[in-house]
Amino acid sequence: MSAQETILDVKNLRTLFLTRKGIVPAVDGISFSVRKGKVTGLVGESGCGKSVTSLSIMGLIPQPPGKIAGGEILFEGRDLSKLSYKEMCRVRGKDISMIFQEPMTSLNPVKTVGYQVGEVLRIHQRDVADAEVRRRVVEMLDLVGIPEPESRVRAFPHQLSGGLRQRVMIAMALICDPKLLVADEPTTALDVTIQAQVLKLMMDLQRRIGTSIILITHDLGVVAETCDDVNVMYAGSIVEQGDVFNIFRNPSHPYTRGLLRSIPDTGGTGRKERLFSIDGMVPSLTDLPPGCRFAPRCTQARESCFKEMPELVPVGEGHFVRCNRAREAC
Amino acid sequence: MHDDERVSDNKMKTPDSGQGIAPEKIEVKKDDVETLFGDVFRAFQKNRSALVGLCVVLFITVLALSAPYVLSHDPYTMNLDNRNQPPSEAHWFGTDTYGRDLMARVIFGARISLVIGLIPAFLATCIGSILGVASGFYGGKTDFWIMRLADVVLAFPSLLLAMVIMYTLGANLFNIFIALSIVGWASTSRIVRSQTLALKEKEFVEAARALGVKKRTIIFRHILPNCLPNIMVVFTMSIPSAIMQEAGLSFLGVGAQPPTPSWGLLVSQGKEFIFSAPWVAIIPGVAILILVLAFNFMGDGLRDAIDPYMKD
Amino acid sequence: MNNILVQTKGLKVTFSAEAGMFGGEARVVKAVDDVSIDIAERETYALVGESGCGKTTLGRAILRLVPTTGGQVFFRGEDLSSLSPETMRSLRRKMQIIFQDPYASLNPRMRVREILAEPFRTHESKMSAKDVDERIAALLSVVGMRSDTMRKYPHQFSGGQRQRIGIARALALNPEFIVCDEAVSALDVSIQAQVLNLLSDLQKEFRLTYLFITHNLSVVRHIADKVCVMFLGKAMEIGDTEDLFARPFHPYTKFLIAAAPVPDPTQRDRERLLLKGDIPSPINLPPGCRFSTRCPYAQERCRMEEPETVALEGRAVSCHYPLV
Repeated sequence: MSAQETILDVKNLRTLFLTRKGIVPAVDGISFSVRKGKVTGLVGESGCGKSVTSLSIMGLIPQPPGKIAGGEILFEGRDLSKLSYKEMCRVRGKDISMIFQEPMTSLNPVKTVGYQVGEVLRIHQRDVADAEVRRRVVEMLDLVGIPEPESRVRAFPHQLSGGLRQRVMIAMALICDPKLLVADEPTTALDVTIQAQVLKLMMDLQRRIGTSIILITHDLGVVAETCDDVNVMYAGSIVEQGDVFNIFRNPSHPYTRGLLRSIPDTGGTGRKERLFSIDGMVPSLTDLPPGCRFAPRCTQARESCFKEMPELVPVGEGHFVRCNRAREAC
Repeated sequence: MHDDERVSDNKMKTPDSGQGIAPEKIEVKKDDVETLFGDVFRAFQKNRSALVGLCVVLFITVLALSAPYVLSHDPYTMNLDNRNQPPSEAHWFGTDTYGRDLMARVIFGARISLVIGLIPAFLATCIGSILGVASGFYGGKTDFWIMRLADVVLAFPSLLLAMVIMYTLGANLFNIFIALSIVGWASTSRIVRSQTLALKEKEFVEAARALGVKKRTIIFRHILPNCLPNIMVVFTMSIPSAIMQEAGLSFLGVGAQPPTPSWGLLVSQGKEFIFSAPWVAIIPGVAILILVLAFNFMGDGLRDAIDPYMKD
Repeated sequence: MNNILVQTKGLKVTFSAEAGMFGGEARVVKAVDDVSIDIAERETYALVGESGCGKTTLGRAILRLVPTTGGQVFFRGEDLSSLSPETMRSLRRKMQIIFQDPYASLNPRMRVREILAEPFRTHESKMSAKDVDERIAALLSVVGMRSDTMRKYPHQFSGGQRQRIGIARALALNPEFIVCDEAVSALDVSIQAQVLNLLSDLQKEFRLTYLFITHNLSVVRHIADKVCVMFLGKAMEIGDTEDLFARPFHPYTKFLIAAAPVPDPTQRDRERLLLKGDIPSPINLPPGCRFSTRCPYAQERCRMEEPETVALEGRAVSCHYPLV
């Protein structure tokens, strides 16, 4: 990472789940930093641990069956993983906010939109007068691009479309001016034209207000358009991290390369030709192979790859890869 | 027909033509048989009260079945010299108003309660399930009329309705089955209907329709099996309710008739002597309590086992 | 040119929501509003659009899984509505569907063997159990799964594997036409690539025709021969894939293509073409062109008068002012 101020430092985070089938190491020793005022992406497919990471940061992992088993989450000099429930409540919504994938189920269906956005403000700034709360809410709704905000304040979630609901979520997240916003697949459930609008909104707001963002997604297109730094995750660990331009120009981990090549129409495969696909499937987290977790699917794996988990090694300025073969000229 | 143009032999073209499809190495997750029964079994292992409930029910069942061989007295022999005796060596539960051994009566009464619990609950669940599925699946007029019928049944306080039926048919054990079944099917049908409505929209049901599967087959092959967990829970929970209703009916005199040792009747017979010989009413009452609680715990455990499974 | 296998003429599917409790009109949703498409043999025909555009309903209507309220569907020239229920049932062997949700499309209480045996039990009841098992094993092998898959339950498999089982089921009776309803949308990118390759191989091997319903334009561009872009129940533009992507004629097509995020960070600062506003509700359709409320090029005529479908350089376009 470039020597710039970081707002969040995750060091060696390990989050486990105790299930009937054994211990599931959903996040197994990941480290990354979020630069101030920048967008950091966590990319990966299902089961890679990206959502668990965001929930761990927010302190929203249900314990039991989950447990943050190790590592540190450093935010403004404090380790979030060690905070008490009450202390964490004060952080959430105010210093760090989160928006979720499904706006319909994330909003309370029996409360008006205005109430819900205002609630965040009332919780963290108890002494604000009602009239002032209302004013700020309308201001926020306007900021996120909801038309006719004065009348929409009284609307219920089901009366709004998916895109509008997501904007309400963004309003809720930003009303207390958080320093960090965690966005977990914020546009995955939206139609593509709405997704484009909401992403643009998020980026505009981010530039204006200067919030740092952690963006979690599986869509490499979204990553390319929004992120400054990228962490590629696979089976609970980070396999490649770096600046977005470096990652796309010079993907160094076989998994990253495979992912990019699998994308139809832009992965370099001609129309109607067979797409490149990575053989096999993501391993079950209760049954992880020793050594590199990607080795069973890797076309370049050597014997040593199956024995020991590789370390993160640099392959460029601020660009790290967890692969034994990364530095060889492939 | 146009079918002839197409290769209509029944041989599937397998990819041995060289340029065929090479099956990629697909690893299946370790063999993990998570069937319905597996989950239920595990739930009982985890949920202590459910396990206790199950044990109690089994114990009472065994006791009831082995009654004639285990007891030293029989429940019908009267001994007017020995009326209302408190519990003693000879009679562990004491004797009732006619000198009959109370323990024998209570244990024989268990047989009745268990049968009363199981059979009407089973009948009510069957009727309710079939009508519920038909209502949910076919919709339209069928749905309308079945649900109105259910509404009518549910509008009556159940005990009152049962009493009226018993009065009309005559008070004996067999008619209790009929009465309780009539009273009990309606709530089951509502539950099964709503589940059917949800299942009807599922894609695997649509897939069956796309295959051309007949409606009736869809009901029996796809809908009912998926309703089964809920139906099992409903069944288990309606057993204690049936037991209580029978006890109530017998207590009021429109259920089992003397000398049948139904627990409700025992309580009724004992109520006159509640101050002088309280054990005559209290012991059968406690027996009802224990059996009903046991079934309730079992039902709760079952429901908890089913729920996460359904959330799948 | 191949023969036309499936054809719709002016197809309409209307749903009516009943009037509210205290009056108000009965609301009518024109899920599919006068759509005519031609799907040729061995072709991959894509239906694209966003929520509420009617593409899923259209796919279902072609297979007669939802009732139609107007227009006709032809399979090899035969009007499906004129067929007796028995003949239609029999015809279903030729027209199958693969669903989006690999978790909901397989009955969780049935083993894979029973799931795959169902097509045979329905249409070839005289087959012996042994023959059925052989066919099932062959089907599993064709989709790249081991034969011991038969004994297991769906929940023992991953999303991609379940999707393969769904594909096997669709193939069981040697269909000619398969509707792929967002068949890869719920899958991760790497699994999506595997399944797309499988579908493509199967198409060549078994001479299949696909109706591919999706919202993902990069998939469309990769596999489709022809594309029909839908919006709120109407077909906005229909044409050959390459042409359509290179030079969209309908504004909606243009914006749809432009909205998809591009996995290349060097292009992130390109000029963004964004539509304003939301997707209108299908219940309250705007008068005139239904796209007029979002279209930046909309003019007076667009708001008043619904455009006709015109043929333009081999394509069908529904717009007063196509971007030629």
